[in-house]
Amino acid sequence: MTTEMTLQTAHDVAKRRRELTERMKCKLIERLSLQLSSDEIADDSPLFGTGLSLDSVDALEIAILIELEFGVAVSDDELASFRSVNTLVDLVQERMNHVEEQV
Amino acid sequence: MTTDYSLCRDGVALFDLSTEARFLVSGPTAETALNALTTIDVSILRPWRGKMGLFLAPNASIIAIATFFRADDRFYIFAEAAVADRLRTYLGDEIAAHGATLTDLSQSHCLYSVAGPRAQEVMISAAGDDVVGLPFLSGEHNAELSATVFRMGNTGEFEYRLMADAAQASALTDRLCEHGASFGIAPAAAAVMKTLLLEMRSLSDDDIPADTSPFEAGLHWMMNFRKDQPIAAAVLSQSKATPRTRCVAVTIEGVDVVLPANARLFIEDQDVGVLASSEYSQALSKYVGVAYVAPEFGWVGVNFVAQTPTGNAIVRAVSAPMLVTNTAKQA
Repeated sequence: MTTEMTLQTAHDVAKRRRELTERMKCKLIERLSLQLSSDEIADDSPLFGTGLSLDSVDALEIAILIELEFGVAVSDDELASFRSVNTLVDLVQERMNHVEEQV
Repeated sequence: MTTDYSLCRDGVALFDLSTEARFLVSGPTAETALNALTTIDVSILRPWRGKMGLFLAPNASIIAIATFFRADDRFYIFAEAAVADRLRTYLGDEIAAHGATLTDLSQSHCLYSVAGPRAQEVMISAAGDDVVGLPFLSGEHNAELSATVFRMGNTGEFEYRLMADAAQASALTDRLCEHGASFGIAPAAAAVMKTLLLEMRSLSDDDIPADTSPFEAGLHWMMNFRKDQPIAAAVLSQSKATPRTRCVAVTIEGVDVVLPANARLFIEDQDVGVLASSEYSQALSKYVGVAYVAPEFGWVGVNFVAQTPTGNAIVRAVSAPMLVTNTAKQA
């Protein structure tokens, strides 16, 4: 949605995103045994190479995590979009929105 | 500019980055000196491995973003051209105070970047098969090129930085162009880097307002939280708990004009932030940038308004990186 927002809508959008992002970070910390707290992980921090310095095995763990914790199946093509916490949340949020629209 | 952009996103570009800052820190106290000055723990760097980190002022504002490489008992430091003078002054004082030696390589050594989805093919041809095994944020001396080769950079593409004696610059670029010809390599203006970096949300100095902390800029991934932070510890702790602002990647829609840096951002009639910078993204067919907004609104999906003479622009907080590069698709 690329239209002007009211303050109330902006608050609602931000709240939902914040909650989902926090949940994603906590699950990543738990699943990957990261020695970090959620407020030490930047939303746009790179997942691989630098930033969290994860590897290809971790990428598969993330795919499993997203399926188990958020009920979202991840295709091989979508693995390439795993670049930051925010891109993971995008994937989950997009699927959740799609399900809500169908309901 | 369009051609230079396409070269790097679709083929391979050769950038002359010789104006960028590069230093060598040496001496028995080099490691101790750097650990006292930066947010990362350089003591855990293995030889010829690198890491990105920050230099911070006592108020926790960012002096410079830098990439550090250990070379045996010495350390290389790389940073963008815009912070070269500031960093030279800062390190000149601080490194000497810790008993280590600072050598400025900016004049004595040239620096080039081979970047793009085809950069690895060019480097295999010009430097030999060994470069395939060079992981991101690592380096090695290459005899074929008479240069030190570093895998680094934040464009999201394969990127190799080559540093050599300044007298070897012509020979180095001639060899790269000769071996890269069949892959379409061509020189590109370093100015296009700004767009490439913004698409990845890789911040440059002019994207970071004065007095912004790493937490507010979203750069706290360049900090080692298990290390005692010798600089600005109390301010960092406060900024972590209650940041004054949040940096978000944004796309800009609704107007054909370039928004000025420091354009104010509104929700209804409430002033909630500022656009730090923006550039036109050819891949996304829209302007992209970074903004600093009130923490309660600094989340993906929130839309802001920037007023322009021709109407309102919608500035939308988005995830970064903003696109999956051809290099990432290959990987």
